[in-house]
Amino acid sequence: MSVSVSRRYIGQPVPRVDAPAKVTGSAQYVGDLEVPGVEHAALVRSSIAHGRIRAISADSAMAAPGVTRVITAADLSAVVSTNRFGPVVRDCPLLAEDVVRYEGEPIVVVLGRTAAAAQRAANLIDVEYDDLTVVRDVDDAVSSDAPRLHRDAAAGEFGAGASGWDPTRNIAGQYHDRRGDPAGAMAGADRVFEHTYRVPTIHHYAIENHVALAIPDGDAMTLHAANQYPFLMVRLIADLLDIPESSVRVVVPFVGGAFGSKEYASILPLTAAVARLVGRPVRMEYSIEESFRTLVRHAAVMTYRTATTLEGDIVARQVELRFDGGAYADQSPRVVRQAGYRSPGPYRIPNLQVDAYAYYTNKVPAGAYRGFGASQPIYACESHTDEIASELGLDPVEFRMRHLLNLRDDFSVGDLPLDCDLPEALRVAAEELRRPTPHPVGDVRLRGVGFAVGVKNTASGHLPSSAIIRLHGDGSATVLSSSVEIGQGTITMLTQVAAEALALDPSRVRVSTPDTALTPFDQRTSSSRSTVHMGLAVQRAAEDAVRQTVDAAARVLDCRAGDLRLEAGRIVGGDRVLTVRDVVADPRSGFGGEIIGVGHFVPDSPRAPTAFGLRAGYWEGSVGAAEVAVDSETGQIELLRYVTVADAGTVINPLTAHGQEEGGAVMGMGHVLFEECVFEEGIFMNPSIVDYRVPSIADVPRALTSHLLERGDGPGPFGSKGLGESSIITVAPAIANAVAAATGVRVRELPLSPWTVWRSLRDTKDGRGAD
Amino acid sequence: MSESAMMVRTTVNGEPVAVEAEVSETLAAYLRDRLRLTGLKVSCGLQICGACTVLLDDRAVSACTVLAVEADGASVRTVEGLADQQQLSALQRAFVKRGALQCGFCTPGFLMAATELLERVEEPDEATIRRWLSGNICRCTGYRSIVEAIQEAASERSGKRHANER
Repeated sequence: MSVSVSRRYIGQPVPRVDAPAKVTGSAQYVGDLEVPGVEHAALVRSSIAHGRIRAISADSAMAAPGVTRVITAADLSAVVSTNRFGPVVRDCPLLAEDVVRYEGEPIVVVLGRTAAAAQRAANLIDVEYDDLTVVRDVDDAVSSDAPRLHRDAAAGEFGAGASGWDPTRNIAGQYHDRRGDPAGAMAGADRVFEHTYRVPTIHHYAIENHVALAIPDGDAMTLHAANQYPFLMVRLIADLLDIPESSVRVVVPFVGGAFGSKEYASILPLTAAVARLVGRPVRMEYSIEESFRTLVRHAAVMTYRTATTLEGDIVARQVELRFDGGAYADQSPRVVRQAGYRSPGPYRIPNLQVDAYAYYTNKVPAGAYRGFGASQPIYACESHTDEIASELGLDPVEFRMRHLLNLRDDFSVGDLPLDCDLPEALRVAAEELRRPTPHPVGDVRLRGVGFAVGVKNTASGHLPSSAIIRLHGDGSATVLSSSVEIGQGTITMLTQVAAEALALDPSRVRVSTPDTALTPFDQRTSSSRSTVHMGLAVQRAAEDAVRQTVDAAARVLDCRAGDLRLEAGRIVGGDRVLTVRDVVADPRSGFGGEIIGVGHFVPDSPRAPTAFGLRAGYWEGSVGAAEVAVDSETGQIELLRYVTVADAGTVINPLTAHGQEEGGAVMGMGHVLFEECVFEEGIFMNPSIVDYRVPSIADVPRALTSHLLERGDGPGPFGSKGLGESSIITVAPAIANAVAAATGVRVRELPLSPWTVWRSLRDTKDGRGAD
Repeated sequence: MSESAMMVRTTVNGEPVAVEAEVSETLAAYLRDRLRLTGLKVSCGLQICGACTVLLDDRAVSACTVLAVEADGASVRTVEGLADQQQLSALQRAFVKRGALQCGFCTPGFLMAATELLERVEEPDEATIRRWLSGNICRCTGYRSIVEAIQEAASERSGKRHANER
């Protein structure tokens, strides 16, 4: 078999295949679907952070105009096998039964003929509580007086990660690692540096709020969902409703942003259960305030201790992470394991100790968020690295270069060696910021430059990705894949991979969005895995289709398959040309209609003998570099320049790749400059876009550049790797380091609001801004 | 017609439309649910994010906080009206070419706000573009590609204008 390997489409800035639909308004999202007879669900949510439900008064709601049903947990028990779900531990009820554990927890569903009628009626429902002591944060959670928020729970779909679950200590998950003799090395060290950093809870704020549409059909159920893991939802819903998986269909059209907020179940189990109960289509769509109250990113308190020689060689590191997991475990056990594993940073550290915990608190559950536990420890590690360099009088770039792991060094013995060239990335970033931005006349603001380096492993375990390619009679192709288009450009990337492998123009390739009745299994669309995992599945499916086509043509032409090739949808060889239709129509081919190619990718050796336990398929690594100007009178930070350098393997599409890198960088700017979910006594003070500020077009530096290093050495199609979570993980420390360099003062918490920066300058005699 | 409904007569994307609306109904709900123009999206519901931006008498408004009845007698333009038959507008083409969108949920709002900008300002500089679009939030792109797309559409249009003037 021969297929052209000229790389016509790989590496090309092919315009997004979904762009025409998105710029004309014809792109469909779940909220755009119209279903006749659908009923709308509104939720009554807990107004307190922790308490026992004493009474629910729903009479006026039930009598309200347009209301069809009022539903509590007791009503749902008629149709669900359990009122508990959760990916690692099933600790989360669909609707609260006796206890509420966070302000905003769903208690009652009101169904109405219109969304407005349902919401008006929901506002009439009164819930009375007996207050319980609120566990406000990780400090409360660890205290021996604090209430224990959970007792027993069954294992969820990823229950293997539950080994660290310890409800007697309010621990949702934990991770530990030891290497060498960290305590001994600390005790005997010349210098020991210790710093503690804090980051607040933040929210994904995808522009599309959570939404689901459940349509029952007898015992079967179809769900239209904005969700990143349709096949897990099939399993979860089938289990919940006690129906076969073949009776559950999950359809995911375009998703308006996810960033992890739609990675697990959120709104889906409840919508499905309600639809099952009433036997009619049900639509549940959250307001933005409700999306804030559904999932957040972990706040963290992180302590780093590093021992060095007098010359500044690192001999030992101890890390303690305390993550705030909120009221239910969700993905916290998995997030904290990843956070702990990545926390030492990509450095040569002979003696290491990591202890990481995720705690239960009475707040919105924390779960998957772009980076999946990478951003928080990298912020702490890279800030700590700069502080050590500063105290030793060493240049922060040179200090890093001395200790950075090189390409193919071991991050952790037994895992895939590092496939990122971090020293090179740091060199590129440093070179970009070598010349400072000129000061305009009269601009007396403090200037500084900062760098940060970080890596995250993409370790997807043993679950496969599968793809089907249907080669039609006219030589065009349909690709069936369950990768979700959340904006990252997956559909376009798969189009290019299929086009290249089929030697077919991309305009004649159409990639589906997930429909579990039709598209084969994929695991979650997350962790930057789709280019490698689904890309390889699609490439293999294409190769399978090509081989079958060429073999069939060889039978028709009575020649050797090796003399033929597929080119632009036709089979050519010497002076012979056949269309696919010619081939499939001929009885000698053995086919009729179309040719179906199937491809699978299953990671081999998914396990690793490391504390983390899973082997990386590849590493995402980045360097972030920032130049800032700080106004010492107001504490205002202006980002003058931002550079991100990522290790990309082979870039399939530079337009979408740079888009993801820039988008991740700007999203990260929000974390360091503005974003903070504020809780007081467990009450969420700012769950709205008015009081929670995300970067606007005016906040972005004009000089925002992304570099992609390519060596073609990734495991994915054509040497590719994953991208999308690379730039975001180094933004916070790069900017924090730049601010510290500018002001001479180190703030060890985020966000770096003007008030925080101004106050730090006033509080520090050494700060250059002090009077 | 119910007691709380009113007839609303507008021109939507150049076509006369006469469809009743509840008095409390937003223009966003009217356009999306009654007229099935689902391009505009409702996200924050508080006129902050701009995802529901449409042009009402050629001015950009947040349809989530305008009542449908306020559009009575006015013209409404949505993203569905930007293309001329199958021909995308210069702005739409520039967005596609520059990759100025990812998940696409904010895109209709940006296109309408940018359409207003290009109709009101001949050759907006970058600072003007950023100021004008600061009422539209994007969580995916980082905005640089959006600014470039608007600049490209602006130059294409003024290039055409200069060509026509010769």
